[in-house]
Amino acid sequence: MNPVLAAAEALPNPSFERSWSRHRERVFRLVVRLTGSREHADDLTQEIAVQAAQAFPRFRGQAQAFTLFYRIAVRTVGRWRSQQRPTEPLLDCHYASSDDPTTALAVRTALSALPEEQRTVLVLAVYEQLSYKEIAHVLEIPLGTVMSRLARARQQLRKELSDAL
Amino acid sequence: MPCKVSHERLMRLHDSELSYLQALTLRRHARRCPDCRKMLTELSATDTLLQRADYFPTEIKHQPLPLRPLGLVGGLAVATGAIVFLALPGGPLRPTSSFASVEEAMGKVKTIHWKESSGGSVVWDCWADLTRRRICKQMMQGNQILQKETLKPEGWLKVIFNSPKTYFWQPLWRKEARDDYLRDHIIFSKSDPGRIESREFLGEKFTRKYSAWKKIEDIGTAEMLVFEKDLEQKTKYGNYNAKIFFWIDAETRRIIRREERSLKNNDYVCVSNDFKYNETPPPGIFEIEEPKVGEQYVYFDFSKFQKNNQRIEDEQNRKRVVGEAIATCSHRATKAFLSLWDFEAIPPEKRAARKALAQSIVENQVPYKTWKSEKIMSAHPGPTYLRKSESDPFPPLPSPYEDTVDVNVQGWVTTARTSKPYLALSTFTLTKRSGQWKIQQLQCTTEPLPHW
Repeated sequence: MNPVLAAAEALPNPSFERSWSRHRERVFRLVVRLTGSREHADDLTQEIAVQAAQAFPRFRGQAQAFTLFYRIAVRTVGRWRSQQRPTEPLLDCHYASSDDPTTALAVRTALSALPEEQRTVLVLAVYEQLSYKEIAHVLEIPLGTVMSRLARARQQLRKELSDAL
Repeated sequence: MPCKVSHERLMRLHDSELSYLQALTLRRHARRCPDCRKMLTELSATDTLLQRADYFPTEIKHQPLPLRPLGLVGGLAVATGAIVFLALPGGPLRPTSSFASVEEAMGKVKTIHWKESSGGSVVWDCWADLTRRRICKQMMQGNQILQKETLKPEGWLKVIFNSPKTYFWQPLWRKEARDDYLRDHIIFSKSDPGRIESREFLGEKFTRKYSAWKKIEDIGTAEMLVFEKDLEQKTKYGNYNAKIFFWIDAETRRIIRREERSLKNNDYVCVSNDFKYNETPPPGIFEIEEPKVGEQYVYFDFSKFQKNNQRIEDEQNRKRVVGEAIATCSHRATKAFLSLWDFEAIPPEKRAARKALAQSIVENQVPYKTWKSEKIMSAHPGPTYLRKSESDPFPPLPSPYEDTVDVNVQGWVTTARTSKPYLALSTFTLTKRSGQWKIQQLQCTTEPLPHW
């Protein structure tokens, strides 16, 4: 049986399936943005679903369900990245939506050059449009750290992309 | 002279993290400050570049206020708007009016099916038919129904499925109580900020004060809204303070989850979730099955007991019956002991056996010799009835019983079999019929109680 279904079936709370189906696409997009690879994102999203299904019964609903899913996604991608060979390309140009492939490549290169914690905060703020509080909740870091990482990430990007800007 | 506004503050402005007035002030400053304007432009340009290089098409993002000059008229309009925004209901200084949309959406619902739990293995399976204005709650343990409650137009009828079945009739607190329940728990027929209720139950007065609904901005998202309100209940025994939270689907404006959290006792939290709307309720779910012919049942009518002011005056009479029971038992006066009993609610075929049992209590089982440190505590159960025929009214009104009381007698006892006294507890269920108290039930501990 599909491990996701198996995990979901074992749950006493059927609201997991509803919640997951609502946020699955968002989680998938986040994983693509963090890994730069849609192929890896497919597998990783499956793994995130299994972990989320196991964690969901302990979720007390004090925050939004997607923060739980995002938290698991960020951790899973972090683990996945630590297991990757350093030579593996982060970029996957097949899925560029930009009209200018050169700029897109430059931006993604600059993005991939950022330290992982800065890139994660930037992706959550700019692409996922989470508030600082939500980012702090997802990453389990203080609000001040979110702001400092975000500021440093933007500063670094501005330096790297000064030509494009 | 370099500008003193920090980059962090400008970034918060760019990311819409500042309050409305803070953002307004900073934007007006940025209009005149080239450093800040440059910084904001760079932040926007970086984000635009990032969005263009995204793997997915750009999503809709909240656009910040434009930086164009406001002018005097514009400035006055914004200032007036800000005052209105802050001061009127719906503004951040007042309860939000957006809850009205929840009331409206919930008002269109026909049926609701949800689960309610205060922790543990017991879960309430709840149904509401908002067209007929009926509610049913079933306390489940696995597939077994332990208790069922239905809200009728006049009040709650509850049944506990023990042996015998125990029925409770609890009239509405007041005329609008049915609406209160619907409004507080399921549907919100009207906004009612700062509502205060005064109620009376079993002669005890208490008040409930509800705050207005407040929207919790930092938890809610574009998909889900969260509202809270405070509940403060005052009785002469103590206060109960709680927070009530509602999670609302932003699209349908229907309830997704409800939580009531006690502020004093963090362990208590009542969660309602798994809300389903407009399902067809199972047939007969809003009815409670009446007792069958020949079946014994307990019926407790809160409205009757609420009006009974003679309970205290009768205390000496009740004590006298209990005293006589102990005395006749201790002296093995079987006939006198049996005369204290009411066997009316015993099915005729079982009546002889019950008399024999009472007789055996006197003659064999509990030959009490002495009672010391006697302590009497009263509780309020319902009388036991026997459904003799289909024509017997249910609810059993008018009741032949004027009152029913449980009397717990606790004391040091010596019996024929024990050389040392031990602590024992007996519970006498006494009923009053035609002004006379009789014993309907008697339960005694066969083992010594722990010494406390």
